[in-house]
Amino acid sequence: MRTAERDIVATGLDVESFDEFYRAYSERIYRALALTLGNETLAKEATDEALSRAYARWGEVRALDNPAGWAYRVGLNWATSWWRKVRRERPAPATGNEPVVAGPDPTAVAVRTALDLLPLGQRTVVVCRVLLDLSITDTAAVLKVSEGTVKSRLSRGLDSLRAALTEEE
Amino acid sequence: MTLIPDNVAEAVRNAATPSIAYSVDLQSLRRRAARRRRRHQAAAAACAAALVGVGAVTIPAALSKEPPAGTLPVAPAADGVQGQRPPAQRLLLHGGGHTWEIPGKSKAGITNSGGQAEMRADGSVVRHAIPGVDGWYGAFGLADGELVVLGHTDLRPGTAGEDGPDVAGLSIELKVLRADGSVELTREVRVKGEGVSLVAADRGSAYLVRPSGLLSHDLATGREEPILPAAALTGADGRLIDVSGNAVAVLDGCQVRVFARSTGQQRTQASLPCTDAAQVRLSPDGRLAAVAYRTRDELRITVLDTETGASRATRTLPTVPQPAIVEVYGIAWTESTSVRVAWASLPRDADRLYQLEELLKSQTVSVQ
Repeated sequence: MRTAERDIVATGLDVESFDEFYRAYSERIYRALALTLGNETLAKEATDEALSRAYARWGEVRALDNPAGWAYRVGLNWATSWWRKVRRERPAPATGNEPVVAGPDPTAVAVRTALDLLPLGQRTVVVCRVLLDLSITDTAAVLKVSEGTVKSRLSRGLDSLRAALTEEE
Repeated sequence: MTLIPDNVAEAVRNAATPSIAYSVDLQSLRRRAARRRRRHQAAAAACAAALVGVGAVTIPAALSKEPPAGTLPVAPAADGVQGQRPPAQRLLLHGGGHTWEIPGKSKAGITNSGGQAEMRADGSVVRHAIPGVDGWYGAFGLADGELVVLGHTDLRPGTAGEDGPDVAGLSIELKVLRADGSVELTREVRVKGEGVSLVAADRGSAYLVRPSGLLSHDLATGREEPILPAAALTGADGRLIDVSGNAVAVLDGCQVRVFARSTGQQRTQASLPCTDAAQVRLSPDGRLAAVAYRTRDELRITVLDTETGASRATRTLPTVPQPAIVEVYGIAWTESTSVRVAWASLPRDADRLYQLEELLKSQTVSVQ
């Protein structure tokens, strides 16, 4: 049995289930956090932190209606908290292995700029609905706001994004 | 219901393609989870320190009855009485509060709150208030009763600031507290844009990890000298690094590496049959290293010879059956060849919060 498996079995967790969750959602959670935070390095660290917390509490997290939404919120809270500010005193080491990729297309840049300009509340709602495929109800539950708040924030956020797309076209 | 136009959704998805792909292996994730448990304790202790500080202001009469000032005696721990001679090293307790929600009830788990905890030779636990800071990254006890602490303070509480390594309004201070709790030394050690951690301390020096590596910080002058480069370290957690005598021990997963402090050269390396190595502590002369680690079913402590890497003794530490939490809170050498370890375990069916002192156990292991 691999070390990690032994570790999880020892705490009564389901290693296969967490591995499946990790494979299915880690990239999506990272993308969502990167778009929300506007900082890929910070988003990666937030994703690492959120997934490590999910791992540590997998027995509880897997029972939630939306573990990916939970992890997104944990990463978001962690990245924006005062404690995170203190922790960030320790800069992440540069690996030097980051792949070189082509830049995004102009439309993506325009949308990203528009997203960056949205208030955080609107941005998180758009990200939850579009990138995490959460329903209005699930988005409200993940962000701990009312469904009405989700709808109004989404509406205003979409208006801004539509305007950005129109200008780009 | 608010519908999301397909073109907007597609544009958002395209915009969400990061330039850096997400990749982290599961083993790294699990190590991070273990490190996070330890950090959680530091945050909880920081809140506790603030509360203790408030208590000292509001009920000075109550605290003034406690000898010495600055310590809050609590119930004895579960272990028996040790010898009367002062120990070679003090057993400060570093480790997590671990809590979880119980549906329909309150929380369950272990809390480690109320100041920096220390297990004394007789098995009792005292908690030291750390004055003048919001929280601390590490605390180490000296034989004469002093504490060396790396504390942090938000100089502009409630003020929004720009996050990042250059964050403004944050002070990171090295403090030396006397046995009576008064402050002997406070020195700002923050270098803007850099992280700093305290991993060990002795009478003359604090041992800090900065981006460049492990350094000795002269407590009298503030002068810093390099000991090991960052490449030789696995992090900045004081439970995974120790300095004593002419030895530096570093835990890397289940590997124990020992370096000669004087030269920085690796002296030996040993592998443990573990799932998670929790803590390392060098003997006062640096010739032995005690390492606590978990296997699938057991919690163990082993004593290694730092010259050869050979195991001199291994003991299994008793825990509750099928524990939900097993945490090592501290290791300290009581003599040159006797080491004491403190740990706690909590069953899965725990239905309330336990203060650490309720669960704390300790055991002494001697080698020939």
